[in-house]
Amino acid sequence: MRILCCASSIVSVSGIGVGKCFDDVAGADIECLKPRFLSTAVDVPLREIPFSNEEIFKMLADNYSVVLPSRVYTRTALLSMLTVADLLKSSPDVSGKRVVVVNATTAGGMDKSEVYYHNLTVDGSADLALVAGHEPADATNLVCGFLQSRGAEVVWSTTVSTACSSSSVAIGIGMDMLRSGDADYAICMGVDPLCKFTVNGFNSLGILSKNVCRPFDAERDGLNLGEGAASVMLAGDEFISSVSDNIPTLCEVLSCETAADAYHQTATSPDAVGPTLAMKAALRKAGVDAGQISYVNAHGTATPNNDESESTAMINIFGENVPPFSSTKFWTGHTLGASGVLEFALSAEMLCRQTLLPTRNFKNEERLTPVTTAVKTPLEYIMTNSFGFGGGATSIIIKKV
Amino acid sequence: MSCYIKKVATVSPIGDLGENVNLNSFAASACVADEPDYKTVITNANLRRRMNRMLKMGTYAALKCMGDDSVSLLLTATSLGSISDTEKMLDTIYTSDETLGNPTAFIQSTFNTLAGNIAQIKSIHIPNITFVNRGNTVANALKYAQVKLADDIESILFVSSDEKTELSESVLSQFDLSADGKYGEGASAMILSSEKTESLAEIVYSQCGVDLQTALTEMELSTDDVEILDSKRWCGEYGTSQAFGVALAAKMMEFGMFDGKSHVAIEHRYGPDKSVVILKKS
Repeated sequence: MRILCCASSIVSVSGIGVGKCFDDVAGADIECLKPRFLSTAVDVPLREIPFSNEEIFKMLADNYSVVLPSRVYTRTALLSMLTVADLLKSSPDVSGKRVVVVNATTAGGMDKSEVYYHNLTVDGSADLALVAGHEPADATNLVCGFLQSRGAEVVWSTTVSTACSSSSVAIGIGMDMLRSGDADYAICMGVDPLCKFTVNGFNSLGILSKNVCRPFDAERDGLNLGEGAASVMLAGDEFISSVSDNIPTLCEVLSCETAADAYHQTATSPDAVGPTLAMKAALRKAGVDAGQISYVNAHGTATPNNDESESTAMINIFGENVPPFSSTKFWTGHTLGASGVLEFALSAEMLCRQTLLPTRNFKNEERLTPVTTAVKTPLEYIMTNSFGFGGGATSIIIKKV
Repeated sequence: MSCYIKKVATVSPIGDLGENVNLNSFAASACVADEPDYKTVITNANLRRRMNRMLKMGTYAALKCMGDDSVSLLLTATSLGSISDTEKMLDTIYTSDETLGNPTAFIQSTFNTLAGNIAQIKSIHIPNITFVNRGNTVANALKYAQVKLADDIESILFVSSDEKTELSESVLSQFDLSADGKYGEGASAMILSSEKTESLAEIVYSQCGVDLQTALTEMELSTDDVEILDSKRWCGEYGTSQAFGVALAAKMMEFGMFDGKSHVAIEHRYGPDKSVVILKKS
């Protein structure tokens, strides 16, 4: 079975839409953004999604005919709904189809749980409704209910969390479920809201930059956290042909392979063992030689440690012929559990437009130099990588259709 | 789709099911895990010192179950993750008005820390996935195990873990998630294999969103064939309590404790989530 991607959606600092995010990465003015909706004392740039929870609730009703019952929703749940509602705008009809949903997140409903905890411990009492969506399943179940309301038969749904590689892992699970024959479509997604918990956590690790982050730059000094929700719809080629000859496909997904670094809870090993194994396994599974890769979408968080070991991994795999590569996180920020699917969607869009996305603010060479301007060039195979806390490394290879 | 349970190990209110457990010995009121001497199994003192109870219980059960076996996939499952460190992190944020950090609590609170610790301790580079889907987590992970064993994976280490804290117990009880108001905790590990040899039981069904009757109908089984195991009186209620039920059922099958029944069903109802796992004598 060949697995094809037939729709994608990104909700990011650029708002809604893969195209909008793509265009902004390619050429928008780079600003150092402060959050409008998250209240935090930590003074760092954050790449926040430009809608309040109330605005998202209203947009779902007005623009997507999704009328949610009135209750407390986590930002995680609202963003999950927004990306899937947007996905269905361009996807094949799910009505009467067997659908698998694999969601991914690191924070779950922490944006409301932290308010609960504050109210409980500081004020002495808190509304229980604030923690009803604490567990990631709340957002996933809401999405499943929405798909069912559109006529889909949701045959299986789950939520996974492998830190910053979470939604890449979700893509792999979706592929496995399609290959098992249990489902017609797999919706693989990732979501992470900005919240005090995450911002303070990363701040305590001392890896947040005070400026726009600079992936792979010799003077990089940490990452920018971003907010994101992204989703893709995958299906087997035979099923797609059986539905219609006119279903547009964005790319073929050849492989999604994971390996554990087994080195440290937050740092990647100097030899980049996990990332190298994942990339090697992805190439082997895809049946593609390293030399055939047209472009690598790097994890490229802009922390000294990540970019150093990721460069090592790329050299381990590609030797002296490292293909053009870049990290798009200078624009989107690091969207954590959403980043895998978000960057998969950007990579698929690169194949469609035959245009590479750059790391535009790269200045000072260290080891490997990323692409710095958007270039129109023939692209056949793209590798996109995600690495996370806990040592999980996932590498995905997609092909032009 | 063959998925056999080869071995189990648990940290639970009635101890380690991998050892000989006397089910009559348990005073069914506490629902607090009977924690072992961790340092005999988790020998890395640096890692052990930083671990909260969710991590210690899960790591212990996993290492105990795995022994010297090699596996090709690690699946972990949790409902609330490292909830004690999550609370610690939140406490630091609010008591310091976001001026102090608590990097250890933050790192330990990440859902997949258990998987990362196991990989690090065993120096294994196999893929790991952490399932975090509340009451459906265990049935999700076991279904995925079935799919992977039917494909190209030979053996899997599965481990679930959840700890309870004063706050988590208070919140769960306000949501009225337990039929008898007893909230428990624990970790359950299993080696799953596509090979039947020397197995305790076979997982023949693992589905979410179904009740018991639907599951039995789908499997063409009647209640004459199936023992319905109420395992929660031994482990208490928590998001991943179903894994304890599966491990217990497998051990009870090994000891021939279900007279005349070919199958055992473990149903899990947890708030809006419901799932059923069915084991068959192997």
